[in-house]
Amino acid sequence: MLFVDLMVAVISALGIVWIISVLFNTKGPWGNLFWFFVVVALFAWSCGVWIVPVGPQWRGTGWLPIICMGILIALLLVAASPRTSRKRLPRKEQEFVDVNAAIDVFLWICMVCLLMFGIGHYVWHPRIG
Amino acid sequence: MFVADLLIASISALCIVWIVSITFGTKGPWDNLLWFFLVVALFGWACGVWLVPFGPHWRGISGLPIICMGIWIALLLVAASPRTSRQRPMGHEKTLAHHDNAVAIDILVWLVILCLVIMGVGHYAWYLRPN
Repeated sequence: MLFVDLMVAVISALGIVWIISVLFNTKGPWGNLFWFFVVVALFAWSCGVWIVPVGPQWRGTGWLPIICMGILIALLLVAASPRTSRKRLPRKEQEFVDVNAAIDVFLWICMVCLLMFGIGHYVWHPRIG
Repeated sequence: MFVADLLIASISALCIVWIVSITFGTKGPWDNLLWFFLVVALFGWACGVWLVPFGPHWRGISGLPIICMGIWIALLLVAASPRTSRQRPMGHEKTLAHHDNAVAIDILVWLVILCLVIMGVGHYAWYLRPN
């Protein structure tokens, strides 16, 4: 069980980090893809396995919660990272502002995902019925 | 159920953000306590309610998973934020300012990783699967 959970978390984190780093042109808050991957994989695994198993299963592991946690954490980290694609301000101001992450569309996406994730619990979780 | 969950998430996020911001001298990655609080509260609630209920119950709500998620997320965000307390090397302010874009991998990142490993391993040690 532990091995399968970890494998799902590592493979999904690899995919998520790769897609996100290409899409949003970021290496995460630490400017290093390896650390970005390690944190996403660890969060996906450690929090994903604690989530009530939902969705399809593979070798007794509900992989959907693990992948969902990975996506949420990766989105949060992108929202908290300086990104090179953020070129809305003139160059000098941009350099100054980049020290702190901007409240932009990525943070909003992250929050909408969280809201849907939370509300989904009350809609789909058997506890409610 | 919904209101109680949100209430626990909001109150615990308030405390967590307050303690963390004072302890580590940060306002989060967005340099704004309100956004820091909002994200911690939302994550605490949205992910906490999905966790397997454990710990003491209050009005049918298990508050511990929500609080745990809030703490993990706050720690992660602090690890991903520029912090004023990060000025350990004397006379290296210029170097630090230069590298502020990419946050340093310091003790806090290791703390987050350690917490996550303990949480993950703890699942296999303590959680009884329904089947």
